[in-house]
Amino acid sequence: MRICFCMFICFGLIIFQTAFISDFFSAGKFYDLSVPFILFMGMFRPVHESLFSVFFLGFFMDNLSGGPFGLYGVTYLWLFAGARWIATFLHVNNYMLLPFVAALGVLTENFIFFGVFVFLTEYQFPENALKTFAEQILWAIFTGVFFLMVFYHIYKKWDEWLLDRQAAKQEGNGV
Amino acid sequence: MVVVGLIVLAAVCVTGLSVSARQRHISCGAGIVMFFVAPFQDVRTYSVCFARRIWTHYFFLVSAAQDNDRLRKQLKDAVRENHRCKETALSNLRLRKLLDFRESINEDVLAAEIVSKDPSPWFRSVIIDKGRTHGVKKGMPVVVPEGIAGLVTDVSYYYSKVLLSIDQNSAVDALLQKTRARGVIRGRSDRYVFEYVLSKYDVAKGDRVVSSGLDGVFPKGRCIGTVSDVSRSNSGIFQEITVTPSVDFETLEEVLIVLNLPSHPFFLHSLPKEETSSDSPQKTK
Repeated sequence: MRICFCMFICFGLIIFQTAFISDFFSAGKFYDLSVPFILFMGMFRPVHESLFSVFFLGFFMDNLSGGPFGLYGVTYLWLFAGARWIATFLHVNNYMLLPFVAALGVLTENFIFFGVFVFLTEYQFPENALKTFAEQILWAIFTGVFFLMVFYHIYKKWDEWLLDRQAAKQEGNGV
Repeated sequence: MVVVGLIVLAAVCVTGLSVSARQRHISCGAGIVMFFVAPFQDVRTYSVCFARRIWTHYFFLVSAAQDNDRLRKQLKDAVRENHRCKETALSNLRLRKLLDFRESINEDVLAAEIVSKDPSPWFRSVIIDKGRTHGVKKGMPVVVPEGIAGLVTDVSYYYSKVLLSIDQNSAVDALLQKTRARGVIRGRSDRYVFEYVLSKYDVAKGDRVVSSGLDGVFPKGRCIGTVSDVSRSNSGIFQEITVTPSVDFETLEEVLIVLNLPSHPFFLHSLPKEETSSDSPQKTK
């Protein structure tokens, strides 16, 4: 059930950013929306659920993107690990810190991408690479927290619903 | 006595009236009367006006509000319809252009619509709504009336992934239309770089670059773009040429997939048997 829900969220996210976001932002000037989701999973959700999302999202994005296969999967895995590490010492429920966490996630993703481009491929950065990069970071600072909170509330409602359902089932069994 | 009194009263009345009729400004106690009566008249007038106003501006407005709602809805519908018509007209223009182009080329082509774009700004690929069931195969070229658009890199049953020619992983064998100098066009995210063009060739800004057809993928003579910058060093063998794409990849919505497989003898020999033999793709022309 939880896995199905994760799949549903991931699927919605992928469709949203490949078919809707691209209409508003030319050539992917908006940041990768999977980043706040992966960060949220890393900071607030159990490992098995998060890992499933990481691989599921990574696999889909790798297949939809024109980049080297596995790039997104690996990037998301590192982001997830980073988010879990950050959650050990950072008070992640502080809303003031979340915009910076989102921006840091986008920064990390782009650094991993750039690292792969520079060391593993013959990729030459386009002239407007820095501008694109800066735009993504700014968008992440201003909107990342919003997405993190949306995910947080969706999962909160989902957990409440699951608990209610479980309680109702137990009452039905006469426990 | 009474009669005399009546006659005198009548005479006084007639005289008084005739005098007052001649002098109109004579008034007696009008101010006092107005002082007492006018406020009540005013209240009455105000009340009547208030009632009339309430009647005309409130009860009557119930129907006016309904009219307003109805008209607003009609306006919304009209605006939506207008948008739809405009969109249809634009789509019609694009498709007409595509159709004209389709009729003007010799290859068998299949029209497809772009359903999604690459989520990353660093790679340039799109997903189109035609796949294996429509006869699309990996490696097929994708073109638009303005020039070449890309190459099919992945195929599923109903959809395919197209690597746009401006992606860094894309390379097209090309030549300059004027001098016939050959080279390789490589994508650079928003423009092309024309590589391996020998320094001996005279290249100028505005020269058109077309596909050579020698890569066995893109049909010969398709427009790729125009030269926007040339840099030639004294020691180098090759020139550095920047090419502006003829296709606007940001606004790309429909494309044509060329279904003919390469007919160049070299490629026919190099392809596996099942690729070259019977299964000719679905023809649309």
